[in-house]
Amino acid sequence: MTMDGPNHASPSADAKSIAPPLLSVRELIKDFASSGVFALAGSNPIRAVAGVSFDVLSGETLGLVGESGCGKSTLTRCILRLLTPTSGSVSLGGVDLAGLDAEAMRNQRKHLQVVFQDPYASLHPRMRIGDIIAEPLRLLNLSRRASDDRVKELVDLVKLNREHLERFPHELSGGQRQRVGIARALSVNPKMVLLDEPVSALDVSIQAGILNLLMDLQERLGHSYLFVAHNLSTVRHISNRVAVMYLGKIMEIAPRDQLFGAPRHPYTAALLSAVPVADPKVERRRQRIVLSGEIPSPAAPPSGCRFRTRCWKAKEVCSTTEPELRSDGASTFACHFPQAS
Amino acid sequence: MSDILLDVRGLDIAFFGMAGQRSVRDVSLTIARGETVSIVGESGSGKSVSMRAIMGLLPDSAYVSGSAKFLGQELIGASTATLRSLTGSRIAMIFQDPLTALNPLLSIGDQISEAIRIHNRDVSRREARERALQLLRDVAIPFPEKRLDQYPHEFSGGMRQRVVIAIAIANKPDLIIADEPTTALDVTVQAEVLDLLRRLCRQNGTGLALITHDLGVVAGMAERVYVMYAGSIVEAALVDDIFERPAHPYTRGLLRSLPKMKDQAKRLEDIGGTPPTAASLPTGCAFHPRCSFATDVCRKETPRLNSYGRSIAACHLGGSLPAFEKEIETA
Ligand SMILES: Nc1ncnc2c1ncn2[C@@H]1O[C@H](COP(=O)(O)OP(=O)(O)OP(=O)(O)O)[C@@H](O)[C@H]1O
Ligand SMILES: Nc1ncnc2c1ncn2[C@@H]1O[C@H](COP(=O)(O)OP(=O)(O)OP(=O)(O)O)[C@@H](O)[C@H]1O
Ligand code: SF4
Ligand code: SF4
Ligand SMILES: [Mg+2]
Ligand SMILES: [Mg+2]
Repeated sequence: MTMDGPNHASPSADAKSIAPPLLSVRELIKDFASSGVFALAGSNPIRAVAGVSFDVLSGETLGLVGESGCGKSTLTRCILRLLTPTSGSVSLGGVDLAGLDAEAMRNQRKHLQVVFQDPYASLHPRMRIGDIIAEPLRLLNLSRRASDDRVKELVDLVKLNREHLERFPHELSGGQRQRVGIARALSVNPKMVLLDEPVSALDVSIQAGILNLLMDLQERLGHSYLFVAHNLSTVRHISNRVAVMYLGKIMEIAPRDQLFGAPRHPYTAALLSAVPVADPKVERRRQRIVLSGEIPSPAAPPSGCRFRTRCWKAKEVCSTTEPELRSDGASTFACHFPQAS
Repeated sequence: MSDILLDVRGLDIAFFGMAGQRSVRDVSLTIARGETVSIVGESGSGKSVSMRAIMGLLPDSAYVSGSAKFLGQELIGASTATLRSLTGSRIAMIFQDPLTALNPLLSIGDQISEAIRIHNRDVSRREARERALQLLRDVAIPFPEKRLDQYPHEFSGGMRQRVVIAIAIANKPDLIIADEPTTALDVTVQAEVLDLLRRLCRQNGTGLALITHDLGVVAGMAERVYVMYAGSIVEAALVDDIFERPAHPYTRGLLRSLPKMKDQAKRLEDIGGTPPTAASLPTGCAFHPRCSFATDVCRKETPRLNSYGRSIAACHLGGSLPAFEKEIETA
């Protein structure tokens, strides 16, 4: 695959700052009705996503990281409208997705694809792998022949074997299934791809191949990615900008090198300190920032700053006043006492 | 040798309809009491299938041969009753797919309580619930009292994974087989869960087989490492040796593929080529089409595991590979 063919569509840095965003999320909120004892203990809903706004530009990768359970998958499901947001808006290429009927939304799916977090649960158990990958291609009304060719090309790209096409999901390994999900999502050349932990089940060599593939496609076709992952070195490698979520809200959002080089939010700093390093000697003398205190419930977030129950820098004001997201020119963060820049 | 918890010898696995081709070939490994052993390697190389075979959990379409002894007791071919009495109490498995490992129709609390009571009939319901609560606390689930009555679909991916871990450690097993136990967890929760597992192993002498693709986790947890490629073990070594002086070209390829936290190159270095399947296994060394050191003998003869220093590796060039240039960052 050439990196700079005639199709070169990734915008220059200048073009980026004026071009309208491809994906635009505004003030998104998603509540789940509480069940079990949640319901008895006062009926606050679980606010899984608590007012999130961000843009993804054309040809850009936005990394999304954060605590397990902070709302990343819920957010992606709301963008896809697999869940109806409680409030807020999502638009793709200027089109407000909330206003679309089923037919119009189906049309948008050509441009908006997803790789789900749980590769097994997201593949139809009784469909053959070849049919699973070909499914989104129906949106394009290709001939049988063209569709078959495309499926074979995709299988090669994600380093599966053609003999896998005849198998069922339960006959594949975890990482093989994950690659089926990636092949399916990329099949229609979507402009925007939501990737929820897309490489977590892959060995590092195949992982490297998939990351290279995603970056090549972006370079050639101008794909945009929302890349959700817990593996921070992977996120660092692929992202242009990175957003850090905690308990339903964005705590910090910044260009990649800024975020990794000089994290401003204490939660970002804690995350970075816990990244495991592939060197036993380093691991033996690692000092991570241990977050004490109970993780709050999304049904009853703390007053003021939602990170304060676990923040080692918290002061009085943190419990009374919620810090607004503010920008220092380089990073945007929500903290009264940010880390030194 | 009562220190050896698990002793696997010459494990072979073939699936029906695969023209007699074996997906797992001649796998041997041991895990001692209190020891943490990592199994890493290619996606699809047979890590999960091998561990499932030991637990008698493969579908009927799988043919398993070889031996796997748990404290001297043969598991391969053992009766369902024997396996059932061992699994969950003496041996616990944390599965790769946390969603499918949980029953969608049972509350989280009921699932953990049931796992406790099935092996300890004299534990009361109330007692089991108390212990379930403590287990959820141990795996850092916030508000465990409230979470106990929720159902799996109300949990995030990472929370489900922690429930599966809680169930696995519920009966203080001798051996835990953990298949990608922390991939769905953020790094801070991952660190907590790994600390918990480490403590457990130290206190109770639990052996841990840790399957993971995260080489950072391997570096922090394992004492010894097995590397698998295309159904076979290609290298076994102490953790320091795996990272300092990997003896097999595949292991080296893995280490080179790692994204560096510092100064990232535009393209990552992957191994190139496509991993083989059981049906398309190359002749000679299974890795030869992708190996930059391959010679004629590699194309013809299958290399056997041999000792090189403290490590063992299956490579014809074994001792005579050039020194490995370590490129991993050190901060
Ligand atoms: N269908 C549902 N009903 C009730 N609560 C839900 C539902 N789905 C998610 N939640 C809750 O919403 C919160 C966010 O979950 P989500 O799956 O979005 O987290 P996540 O950031 O993707 O986490 P992970 O990294 O573990 O995958 C969690 O507290 C979860 O328990
Ligand atoms: N039921 C089955 N029928 C046929 N082949 C199977 C079946 N289950 C697994 N396989 C094959 O056996 C091989 C080993 O699978 P296994 O799940 O053990 O891989 P793995 O090493 O755990 O990979 P990963 O890291 O991707 O989870 C794979 O190539 C897979 O396609
Ligand atoms: S606002 Fe206060 S509690 Fe919140 S992150 Fe900043 S210092 Fe910590
Ligand atoms: S035996 Fe030959 S092909 Fe196989 S790993 Fe060693 S050098 Fe490479
Ligand atoms: Mg998720
Ligand atoms: Mg597996």
